[in-house]
Amino acid sequence: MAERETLLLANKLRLEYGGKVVADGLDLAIHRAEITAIIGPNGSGKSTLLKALARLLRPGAGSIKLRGKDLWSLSEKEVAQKIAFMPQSASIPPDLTVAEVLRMGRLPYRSFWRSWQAGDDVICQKVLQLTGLTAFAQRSMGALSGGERQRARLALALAQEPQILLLDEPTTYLDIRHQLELMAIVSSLHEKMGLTVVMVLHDLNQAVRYSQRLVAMKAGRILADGEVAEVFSCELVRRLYGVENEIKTVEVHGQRQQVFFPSAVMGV
Amino acid sequence: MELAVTPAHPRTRKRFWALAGGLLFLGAALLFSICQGAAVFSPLSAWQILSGGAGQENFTILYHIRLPRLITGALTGVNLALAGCILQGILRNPLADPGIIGVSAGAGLAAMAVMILLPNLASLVPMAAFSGALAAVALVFFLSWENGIHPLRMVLAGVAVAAFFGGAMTALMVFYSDRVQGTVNWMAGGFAARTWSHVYMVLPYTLLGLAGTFAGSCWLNALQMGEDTARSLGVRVERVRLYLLVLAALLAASAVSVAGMLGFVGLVVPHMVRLLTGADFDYLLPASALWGAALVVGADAAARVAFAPIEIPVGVFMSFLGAPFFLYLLRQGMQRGH
Repeated sequence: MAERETLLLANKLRLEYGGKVVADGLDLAIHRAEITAIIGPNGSGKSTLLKALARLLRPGAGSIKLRGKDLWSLSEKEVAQKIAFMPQSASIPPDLTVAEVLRMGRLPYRSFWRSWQAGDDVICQKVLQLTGLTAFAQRSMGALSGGERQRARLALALAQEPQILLLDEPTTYLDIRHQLELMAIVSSLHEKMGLTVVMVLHDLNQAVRYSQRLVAMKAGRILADGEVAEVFSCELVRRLYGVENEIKTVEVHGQRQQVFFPSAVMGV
Repeated sequence: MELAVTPAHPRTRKRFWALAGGLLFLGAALLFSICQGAAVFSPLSAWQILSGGAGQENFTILYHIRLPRLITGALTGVNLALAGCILQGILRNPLADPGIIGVSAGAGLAAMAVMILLPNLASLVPMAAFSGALAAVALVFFLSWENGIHPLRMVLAGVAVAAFFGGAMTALMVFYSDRVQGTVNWMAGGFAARTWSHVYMVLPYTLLGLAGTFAGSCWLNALQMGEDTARSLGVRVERVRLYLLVLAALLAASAVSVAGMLGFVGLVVPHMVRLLTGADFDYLLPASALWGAALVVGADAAARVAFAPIEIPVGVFMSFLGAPFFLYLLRQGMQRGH
């Protein structure tokens, strides 16, 4: 792997949830301008890891460093200006408009001395454009389709102007068109602006297609971590999920693409 | 605060009317309230009497009876509405009202204990109610503490504490059934015979509440997006939530201490206003404060005048008029899909 600047560095992380150890001994480095997908079966601790990286969950042991500084030595606001987190589900009040939701994305920059400024408007406009929501700015969240609503939630995270974007199962409840739309936005953000993205995904085909790096977790441990081409294999999927599978390469628009097909549950 | 290029917010007009209408209604209610009653004055003569000073005939009626009564009512309305807004925002539950954090139960028990057990110290009832409310809130906070106040546990603790205190109130009523008579009016809530000392009791909390909620409206906005989202926006969720809950407790406790058990306002006003302004607390809070004051002052005046010389307790009056109106608004809102 090429030498890249490390933005987030987790060291011997132990994560606990309600007094129970969910994951232990996690070492992970997130590099600048890389899309990392975390995959693994339900309950493997991937969402918990993502929450820890977002500073929503204090690790029981070990440390997370953001560009060399301990994540928990920084203030909430400092972290919120660098890292944005999109939770798996958040019930945003349906009577808020998209513009109002976006406005909250500027909260990390607001203080007693600094209220809303023209620059905030510019950023919100830009984010609306990036997410294709300009026409929806004054619609209420309740009047949006599921895909549009998810894009609005992504827009909220982007309005924070983060260096690192953490997405927890961003496509899980969307139909195939909206899934593609959302992932296309994420990849274009990465290509155009060099955004660093870490996302938890259930859809392995999406993980392979849209990320450069895979982190595979099972039962609170990292089983594999590396570039997609090196890491992703039938053997890995078997070990992770206990599922017999085939991986084929297809060519779409001249690009070679790995496609995964689960054929049977092992041992049944 | 709107985004520049995009079209206007769909609620711009509704918001304007929520604020302007609240202000108009409050003004009208205050004017009506000072002029109407057993003795009727025109607005002009009321002004002349009040500005004329203590020598004037009728000065006592206006300055020592009506004015403190309507100001107490207005401040109580502001406090209850703001407390309701805060609680509904923090608990993300449209059914939250000041009763849910134990305020009513604590105030009720303490006030009733003083009225029944120490009837000579009736002047201490407001102080007792205030302390009782805060004691109950403290108990609820203590029971729901888990690295900060946990909202769901708070609702459950609130229900438990209210049930416990309610039981104690029932016990008092049963064992001292001969003295219950004197407590009934207070329990119904109202503003009869409120004086300037009552005004001074609530006023500091109203000012504190207004300043505190407007400073905290951006946090309420973030909190209603859910805990994880709020936290990732850089909000210190535990600390902010505690600050806002303490504020809500002070607002509600001071209101209950001078008005008695005045339900309804804290629950319904934020709801009604939200149908107009939407969920943005920057508008919801000031509009709720206005409508809370207007509603209480208006209802109190109407309760005084409607069946004169019989005075209906304002709490009863408000529930009978307000509840159906609220259901109507809710239906309207639902049909439009909000």
